[in-house]
This record gives sequence, C-alpha cells and structure tokens, in this order.
Amino acid sequence: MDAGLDHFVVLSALLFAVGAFGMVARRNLLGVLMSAQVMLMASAIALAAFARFGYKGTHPLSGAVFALFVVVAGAAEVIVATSLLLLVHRRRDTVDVDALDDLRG
Amino acid sequence: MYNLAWAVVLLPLGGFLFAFLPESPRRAAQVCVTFTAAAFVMAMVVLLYRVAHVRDNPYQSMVTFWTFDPGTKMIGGFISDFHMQVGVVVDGLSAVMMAVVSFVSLLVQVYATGFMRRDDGYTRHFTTLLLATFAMLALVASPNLFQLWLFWEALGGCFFLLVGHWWQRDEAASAARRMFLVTGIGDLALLLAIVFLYTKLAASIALQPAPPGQSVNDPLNFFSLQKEWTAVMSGHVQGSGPRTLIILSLLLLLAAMAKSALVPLHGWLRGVFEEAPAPVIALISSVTVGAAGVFLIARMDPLFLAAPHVLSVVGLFGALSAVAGAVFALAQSDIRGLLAWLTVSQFGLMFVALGVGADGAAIFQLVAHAWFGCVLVFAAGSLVTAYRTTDIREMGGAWNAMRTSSRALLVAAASSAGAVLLAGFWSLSAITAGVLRNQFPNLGHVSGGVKGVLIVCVAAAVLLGAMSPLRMFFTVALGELPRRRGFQPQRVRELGGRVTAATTALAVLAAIGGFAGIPGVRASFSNFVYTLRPPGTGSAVLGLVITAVLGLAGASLAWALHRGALRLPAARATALLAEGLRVDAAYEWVVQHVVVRPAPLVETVDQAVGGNLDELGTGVDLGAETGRRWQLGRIDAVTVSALAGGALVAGLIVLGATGHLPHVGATR
Repeated sequence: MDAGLDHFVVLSALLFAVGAFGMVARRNLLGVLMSAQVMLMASAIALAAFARFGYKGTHPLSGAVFALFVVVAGAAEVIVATSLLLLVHRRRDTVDVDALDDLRG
Repeated sequence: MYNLAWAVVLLPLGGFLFAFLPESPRRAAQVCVTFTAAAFVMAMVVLLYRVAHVRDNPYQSMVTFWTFDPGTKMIGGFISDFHMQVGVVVDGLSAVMMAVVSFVSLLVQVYATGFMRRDDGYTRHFTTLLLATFAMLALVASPNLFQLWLFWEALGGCFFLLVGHWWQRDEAASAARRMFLVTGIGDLALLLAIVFLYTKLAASIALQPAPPGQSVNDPLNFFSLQKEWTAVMSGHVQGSGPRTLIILSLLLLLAAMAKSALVPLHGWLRGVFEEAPAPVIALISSVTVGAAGVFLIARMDPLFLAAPHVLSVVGLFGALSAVAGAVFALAQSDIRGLLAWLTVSQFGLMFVALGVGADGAAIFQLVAHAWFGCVLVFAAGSLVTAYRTTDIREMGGAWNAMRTSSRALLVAAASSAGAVLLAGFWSLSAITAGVLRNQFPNLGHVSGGVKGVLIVCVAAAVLLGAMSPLRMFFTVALGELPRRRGFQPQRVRELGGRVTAATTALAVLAAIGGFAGIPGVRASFSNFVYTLRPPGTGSAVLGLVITAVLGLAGASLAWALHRGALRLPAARATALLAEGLRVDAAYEWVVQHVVVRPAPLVETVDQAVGGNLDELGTGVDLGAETGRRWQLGRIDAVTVSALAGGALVAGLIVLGATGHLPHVGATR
C-alpha cells in the first residue's frame, strides 16, 4: 500500500498530539523544549506533505519553502532556549518547571 | 514665498518635539535656539517679500479639518455651516508680528542660555519657551477667530508653566495661578464673543460668496467678518444691529484688557515680575501675553470702527492705565514693581492709540516696546543677580562694574522716555500725533471731550513715564556704591557673553529701530501694517515736538529727583501709591469672602460624590484580584490554554470555510 496524503496528515496530527502532551506533562524543562520541537516538526511534515501531493493538481512550492523555514526557526529556537535553560540552571540550580512560577499573578 | 509662513509657525513646534531627543540640557537649548533662529529667518523672508509686494491682497492658506454641513444635528440643536479651519494669513500686520515675535523669542532664548545656567529645569524652561513662541506665532498668523482663540488659550497655558518655573516656592506657584485665573476672565470673554458672533452672524456670512482661492466660507474668518460689519451696521442682517456690534466689541475689549494687564485687571503682572525668571518676564511683557491683547483689537479693528463708542471706551481705559502705571512706577523703589507698572503704562498707551483709530501707531509702539522693554528686563535681571537685591536704592556704580548692561539700560530707558531719535521717540510721537489728529480710517472720530481727556492723559503718561526708568538708571548706574553687611561690591559683574550679547542686540534696535516708522512719512511702518488704508499724516510735526519736549522735561525731572533737588510727596502717599492704591488688597478681600468662605460647601458635595467613586474603585479592585488568580505562571497551564485557543480558532475557520457559520461565506 502506497503512503498517500492522508497518512502523512494523520502522522502529523499524531506527532503534534504527542508533542502537546509532552509539553503539558513533562516536568523537566529540557523535555518541554523537546516536546516543542516535536510539535514544530509535526507541522513541518504536514507542510511538506501538502507540497508533495499538491492541491487539485497543482504542486505549490511554498509548502516546501515553509517547511524549510519551520526547520530553521526551530533550530534558532533551540539555540536561544538552551542558552536560557543553561542560565536558569546556573541561577536556580533546577530545571523543574514547577519551580519556575515567577509569572504567577 | 508666502507659504513660508507655515514654516515660521511650525518650526518652533518641531523644535519643541526635537528638543526632547538630546540627553544633555545644553544640547536641548541649542536645538531650541536653532529652530527659533530658523523661524526668524523664514519670518524675515516673508516680511521682506511682503514689503516688496505691498499692494497684494492678504494671503491666506487654510487646512479644513472638519466641515459641519448646514443643518448638522448636534446635541441640543442644529449647527449651521461651521468649518474647523486652521491656517496662516500673511498681511502687513501678521508679517510684522511674526518677525518681531520670532526675533524677540530668539534673543530671549539666547539670554536664557546664560541666565538660566545651572538651573535644574533648564530643558523644561527652553522647551516651554519654544511652545509659547509657537502659540504666539500661530496666534498672530490666525486667519480666523477659532484659531486665534485656540492659541490664545494655549498661550495662557504655556505661561502658567513658565511663570511657575520655580514652583517649589509657594509665591511662584501662586503668581502663576493668579495670572492664569485673571487672564482666564479674558479667555472666557473671548469665547463668549465667538459664540455670540457665531449664533448671530453665521447664517448671514454663509450666504456670502467664498473668498477667492477658498472652497468654503468660514463664518469666523477675519476677512469674511470684515465685510459683514458694515452690513450689520446698516441693518441688512436680520436679528442683529448696532447693539450686536457693541456687545461683541465690549467682550473683545474685556478679553484684550485681561491679557494686556490693563487697570483694573493688572493684578497678575506684579506677581509675574516678582516670581518668574527674567527671560519669561521679558517674553511676557513684550511680544506674547501682553501683546496678544493689543493684537486682538488691532486684528478686529473693522468691528471696533463700526462701533465707535466702544473705541472711546478702549481709549479711556488705555489712558487710565497709562497714567496710573506711570504714577505708580514713580513711587516704586523695587525694580520689579517699577518695571511692572511701566509695562502697564506702555500697554495703556497702545490702547489709547487703538482708541483713536491709530492702529499703526499702536502696533509700532508694541514693536518698539518689545525692544526697549526687553532690554529693561534683561538689564534688570542681570542687575538683580549681580547685586543680590531687588531694591534700586541698594544698587549703584553699575556704570563701571557692569559696563554693557548699564549702557544698554541707558539706551532702553532713554528710548522708553522718548529721547529724540531713539525708537521710543518715534513710536510715542506717532501715538501723540494720532490722538491730536483724532481721525479713524473710516473718517469717524472720538468726541471732543474724550479727545481732551486723552490728550491730557497721554501727555501726563509720557512725562511721568519718562521719569521712572531714567531715575532708575541714574540710581543704579551713577549712584553711590552700596554699603551693606556681607555684600562685596567687587563681585558685581556681568553674567557672561551670551547675556550681554542678547542685551546689546536688542539695545541697538531700541536705539535705531525707530527710523522704520517716522510718523507722517508715507513709506513708513504704520502704512505698511495697514496697507489698504488711507494713511493719516496730519499733526505729525506737532506730535514730534510735544513728545520731544515732554521727554526732555521728564528726563530733567528725573535728574532733579536723583540729585535730590526735587522730592516726591509725603512718604505716606508714596507708600499708598507703591501698593497700587490697594487694588490688589481689594481683590484679595473679594476672593476671601466670595470664594474662600463658601468653599467648604463644595467640599461637602465632593465628599458625597467621592464616596460613591470610592465604592466604584473598590469594585474594580475586587475584579482585578479575581482575574489575577487565573494567572498561574505555569508552563503547562499556558500551553493548555494556548492549544485550546488555537483549536477554537481553527475550528471556527473550518466551520466558516465549509459554510456552517451564519453570515460567513467561503471565500473560494
């Protein structure tokens, strides 16, 4: 059986759900970051799939370009977020998100 | 070329905004001075172009912000045909005023860079000076009463800030308040006049053809109004007649008197002279607040010419102030009080000139007084700082200790006294000639009795007004060096180069600036300011002779007073005069009994209203406290809410795109 557009979209949705669950459930800040990456990549898969299988016979390139952008943005996010994470660890000596509630009203 | 007038008006506003960019106060002041200098250059270009094209019609350029069509429904009734316009107008009057205002403001700022050095509010002082300059320039360039009123109020606000510059002192804050409130009487009168004029005449003016180059006919435009007055006077306008004109012009007169500090609304000026910084005093007493009143009547003078009885009232009030100011100035030994009363006297003389229809002479006196009045205040500011006292009897020997300031003071005092060939001589003799001629441009005149009173009052004002500034100069410059405990005469010196430079520049003008307006000559100042009028040339020589004689007599009397050959009347009378005949005390009493006593009643009302307001505040507080708890500051909560929100939006988009939402269709 060939993999069609539906398969990719469902894969993307599942990955997104996994990422969202991880984001909410993980206590470790590093885990939260990884979950965010999973969500990003899920959306990239959906974009690339739409670009590959096309819409009503057309194959717009913008989907692929967007997917590339998402990957690059994700990479940038990882760099910034890990440095923030390092700083948090250095100052607080913890990466538990439950301990980081400075924005509490 | 005339379009440059926009630049003249807007450059100070731009400078005001720019001056907040630099961090250093010195740089901010430089920005202010630069922008004012640019405005002055533009104003000179406009003025010279106007001189070259003196026969042009007045140039108007307007921006209409909003137009109320006839019959627009407003709360409480209909509004007919009102165009909210601002713009610039260039005719002889505004061209001259713009040049003078920007020039004096420039020199005041240069003076202030030296005088206000080491002051905490340096940037605040300069930016507010610039804002006040903008307000005055926009006021003199107004094409209609609406804009004039707008900037009339703005001017009051700016000077409230400027006079209260040292607000930490209670006296300064109180002087600023007093000025704001007393001139506020005038503001109210002007607003009433505008509303009254609008309700009476708007419908009639809207029927007139629009002026050339204009798409609409603004009922408050000066040139539309100008044509209206004669129609009203001859009864062609339904619902208004001569009485309308009298009420209008009396209201405008009240407005002008409050701004120009005429007796009996002069009380605020003394406080300003005592508490404001010297640059602010110079600006207030020369080309801004005081001048605004004179300008208002000069601008609206077609109305006053149509109501000649009110012109007599203008002249008589002016004469009262001219004489009272000159007499009271003579009794002052406080330099600030002396100059304050002298200013009242000068503005009184301008109103006398307005009252006999010699508007050109009034504006010329305004310009000349801007020069010598500013020098007097500049020199006084330097003297007070150097001698650390405001009593002229404790100053002396300035001729050698402060060479530039004392020489400038001599020029200004002599000019103010009408010494032959100096600026004040020409302007004072123009006023004298105008009173003697007694002929309006429309060939009317004030009655013989009024003319007699005016002649006597002007003569007295010129004679007595010559004495006090010269006597002050003799005492300060040629008198004995003061001997006071803890005072070191060798430390008396000038305040620095920029202060003396500004003083000198204006002193030169106070000396030679008068040749622009030799009375009786056709190509002279007054004929330029009111270009389209037949120039009145009669009585010019007689006016010159009388002024010269009176000025000389005043100077010799001042010298006699200084040498002790002549004494002022008994000490008690002098003391009474020095207090300004207790007019201020009477005002205090009225305020005490009419305002202060019923005030607790207001407080009771306030408490009742305030209680309810407090409850409202508590409600808001409670709501905020409840809402605050929803902010958990946890990543998981944030994520869940973001996902939920995203799902909601996505769901709505899908529903909308598939046509399941009412009123939203699929775009493809």
